[in-house]
Amino acid sequence: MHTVLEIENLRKEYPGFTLNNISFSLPRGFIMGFIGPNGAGKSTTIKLIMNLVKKDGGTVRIFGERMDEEEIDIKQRIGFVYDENHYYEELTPDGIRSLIAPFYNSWDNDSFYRYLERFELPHTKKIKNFSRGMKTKFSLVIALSHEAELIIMDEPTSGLDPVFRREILDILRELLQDEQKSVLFSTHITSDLDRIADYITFINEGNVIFTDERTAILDCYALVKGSAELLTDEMRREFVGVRESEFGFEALTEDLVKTRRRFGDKVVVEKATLEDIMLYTVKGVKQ
Amino acid sequence: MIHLVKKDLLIQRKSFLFLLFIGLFIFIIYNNPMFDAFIYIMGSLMIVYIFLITANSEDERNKCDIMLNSLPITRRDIVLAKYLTIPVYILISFVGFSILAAVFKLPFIPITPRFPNGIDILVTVLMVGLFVDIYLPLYFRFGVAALRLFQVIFLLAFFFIPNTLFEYAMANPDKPAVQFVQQLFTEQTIVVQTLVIFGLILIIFLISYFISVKIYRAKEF
Repeated sequence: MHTVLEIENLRKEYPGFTLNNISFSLPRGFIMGFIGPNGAGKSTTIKLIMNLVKKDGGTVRIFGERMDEEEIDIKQRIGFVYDENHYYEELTPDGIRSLIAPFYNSWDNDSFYRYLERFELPHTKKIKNFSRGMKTKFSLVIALSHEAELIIMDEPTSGLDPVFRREILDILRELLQDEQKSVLFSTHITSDLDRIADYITFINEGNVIFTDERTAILDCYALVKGSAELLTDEMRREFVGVRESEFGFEALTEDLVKTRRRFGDKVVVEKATLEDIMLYTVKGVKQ
Repeated sequence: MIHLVKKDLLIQRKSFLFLLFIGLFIFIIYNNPMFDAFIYIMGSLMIVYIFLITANSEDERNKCDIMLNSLPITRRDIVLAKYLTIPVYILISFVGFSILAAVFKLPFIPITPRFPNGIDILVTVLMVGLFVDIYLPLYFRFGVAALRLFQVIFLLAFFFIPNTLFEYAMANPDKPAVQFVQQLFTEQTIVVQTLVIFGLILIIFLISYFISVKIYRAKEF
């Protein structure tokens, strides 16, 4: 299995925030959800991958090449969709095509117009008159028109209404029919990833909490609900996070086997969602 | 590189209207012998200024640095392209003004401006060169706000540098640099004078360009 993106000990220090030697990798043909709360370091990581900010340590390898050595060749094969539009708002999609197309060796006008039509974007309307969702779809059109093998998306669904979000996610799922394309998709809306992500990397306060296949993660974590008297201090420490009320507790465990052995049938065990995992990990114990 | 230059023209098609306005302005308002020698220099300076500031403002308004730096181009290309747009703007202004001057030659138009000549172009290149060489490193460091900084620097330089240099030359007539300048303007032909001045402009351009590249390479978006 070829690795498309390989991050190793990536480090960036800002006053008050450090991206702390993070490592993860994405195999070819898969979607990785890159999740974490606001301020966790997702955008910093993506900017480091794209060389928009300078790293303080570590390596970024894309398509097996080091980004700092083969940046131009690598960027020929990367498509990017950011959380806001960075194309000239006064221009139409046609105008932007004429600006962007010459930079890519594999630019394909047919693909460009086909995707514009597929995404129902008017090619003679100025970008400034596009809705936020339309702008995101337009960025995706550009990313798809030069046969990008890796698409990097930084919070593409933030600020979109549910209809547009669903549409973007459906497009991504459809794209992945082509097994040559890989996607790194950062979001704090974890439900976006329930249907589409193959891998999840969870980052919090500049540290990778876990990076693995989504199914493996969801199998490993579980929500445990029980009455208050069952909860001991030892258990509180073993859970990832606990929410307690006068009626009982709800907790997240990362060791389901151990939890079952300890409580047996006295507790209710439910599947945890990515949102549960993120919430309990970030918030920890909460009364 | 050429595509980046083309980009700066495509994003400001409306600026081409200024060619017409400024052309009419310099032909009509400055239609007297006192200003005749300067009309094309002033007009071209205004055009370069408008085109450059408009392109930079569009880049900044749309936060295009993030997009440009995600494309398969180097930061050096982005900087060099900005410098290369300047001769293109100068060319556009002179071609535009020449066409307009030709139109003014029609018999029923009472004003008949002269056509631009080599001196107009030389002086324009010199003045635009100095402006751009100071402005662009400031732009790459501070963005569009650099213009205000440039104006302050320009005003200070305008009031203090000639005076300071003159006083220095008066006080130190034996210094080689002072003698060189004196000889250049009293004993050399206009060709040598032009070559030396353009050599200096070239050196200043290279210094300005390398400073801009250094600044832009270190920038984080």
